[in-house]
Amino acid sequence: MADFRTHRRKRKAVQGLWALLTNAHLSGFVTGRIYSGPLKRFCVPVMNCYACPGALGACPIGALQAMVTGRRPRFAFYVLGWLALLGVLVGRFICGWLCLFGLIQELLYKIPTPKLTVPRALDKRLRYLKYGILLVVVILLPTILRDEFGLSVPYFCKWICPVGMLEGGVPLALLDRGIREAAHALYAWKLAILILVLLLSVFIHRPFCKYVCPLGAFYALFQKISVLHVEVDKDACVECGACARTCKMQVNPAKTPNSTECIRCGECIHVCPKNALKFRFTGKEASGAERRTT
Amino acid sequence: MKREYLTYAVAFLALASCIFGAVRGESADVLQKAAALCLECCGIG
Amino acid sequence: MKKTLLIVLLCLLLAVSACGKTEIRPTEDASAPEAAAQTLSFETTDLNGNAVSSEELFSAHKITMVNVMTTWCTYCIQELPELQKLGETYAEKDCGVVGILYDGTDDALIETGRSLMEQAGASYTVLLPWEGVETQIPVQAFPTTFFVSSDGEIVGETILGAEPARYVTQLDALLAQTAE
Repeated sequence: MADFRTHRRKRKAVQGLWALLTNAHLSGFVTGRIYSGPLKRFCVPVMNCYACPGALGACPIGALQAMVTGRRPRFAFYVLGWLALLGVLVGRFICGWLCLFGLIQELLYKIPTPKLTVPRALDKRLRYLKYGILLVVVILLPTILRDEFGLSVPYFCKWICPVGMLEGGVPLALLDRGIREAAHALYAWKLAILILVLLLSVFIHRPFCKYVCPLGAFYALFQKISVLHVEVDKDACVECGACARTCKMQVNPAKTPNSTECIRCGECIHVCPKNALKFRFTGKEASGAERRTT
Repeated sequence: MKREYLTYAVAFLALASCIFGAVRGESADVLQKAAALCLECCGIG
Repeated sequence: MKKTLLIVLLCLLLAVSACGKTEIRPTEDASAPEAAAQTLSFETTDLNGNAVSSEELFSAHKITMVNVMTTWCTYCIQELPELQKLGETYAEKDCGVVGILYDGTDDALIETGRSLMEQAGASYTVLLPWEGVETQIPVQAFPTTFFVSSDGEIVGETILGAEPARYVTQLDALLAQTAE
């Protein structure tokens, strides 16, 4: 039990530190100017708006959209290759340990209120929404809808992303009069989405991650083949259900340890009374007992 | 066994793709957009 | 406890060191040229290769509206036809419209800028960036539009975002002021 609490604190610390590290351009929060140096060639592994005054890197979804919205849309070898590499290495571990917006949703969920259980059938269907958003809003729309100049628009960033609103839109408007004066209906719409997501996060655990995040959807594609994965020792497992009860992403780790919905937070691993769940790396010899890996 | 091969193959392809894209100068496109603000693109408008 | 403190301190150090590039400016108008008594002075070329000096450029009109754009900013390009129209209308009132192609730093981008202007039917002068433009005119958000008097002084409000209606309001207000 003490181990479980330490694990939780450790994960929170990692989430917080990574957020600080990747948004260390602190002067931006005083001057209202974003960082424009060479580090922004690189995509951070998580959703992190480049318009955040503190951001040192590029947002992967923003970068993906940037490749597609130019006058000559280019296949995003660099961005997709990088994201695929991360995905095949650790899958949605990134979501569980490095994402600032994930951290924020988790902190909001800690607010002591009665929690909402989304009906199973609805919840299952809504999980597919994020794949639709990835395919249609992030990739297809900007590729297909081009104006007479051949230019397009990053539809996800413009119309949906609450992360960008929280990290970029809001701080910039607070710091800069020019941006405040430029904010009209679109800004109001994005703000409404942000408030809705933050509010929902109090009652539902990580709703953005479950239903909307296109980056989580992308990483999820690699869950079953990633180097870092979860293994169930079938001999040790007594099917007590403790792991499934603990899992806030509604995964049953004993049955589907590498579900696309698992953010690899590791809580199930620490709650298992029989130590039947473990993080494993592909290539490291698994000893003896039968393993379940899908 | 099969699963491992898939992992290595995807990792290799991913790395190759990333390097290929970088060599093509795609990171400059990323930098261009990430280092400045197109306001309405960010949802400020 | 000591370990966490060390990590936090290291991060703060990193944060401070990452502060290099931008200068501290007053919080208001962070992304616009100072609207108070800043005079522009530069020499550069325009999109068609002609030499332009700020003195010549600004003394030619009572008020010059300067619209800063880039080749990749969709909304900057979309407002070009309207800017052309605005220029034509306000020419009678002795106002000029001038563009700055902020990313016009290599031949390919300059050529792109030229073809976009042509496609948009916009024929007003577009300046190419010069050495020190980022200090004189520090723009991080596109499009940015500001106004210059015939003395080369920045006047009025700087407008962020593609909003021709606001440009017109500013122009009218500034013209009214110069009429006094």
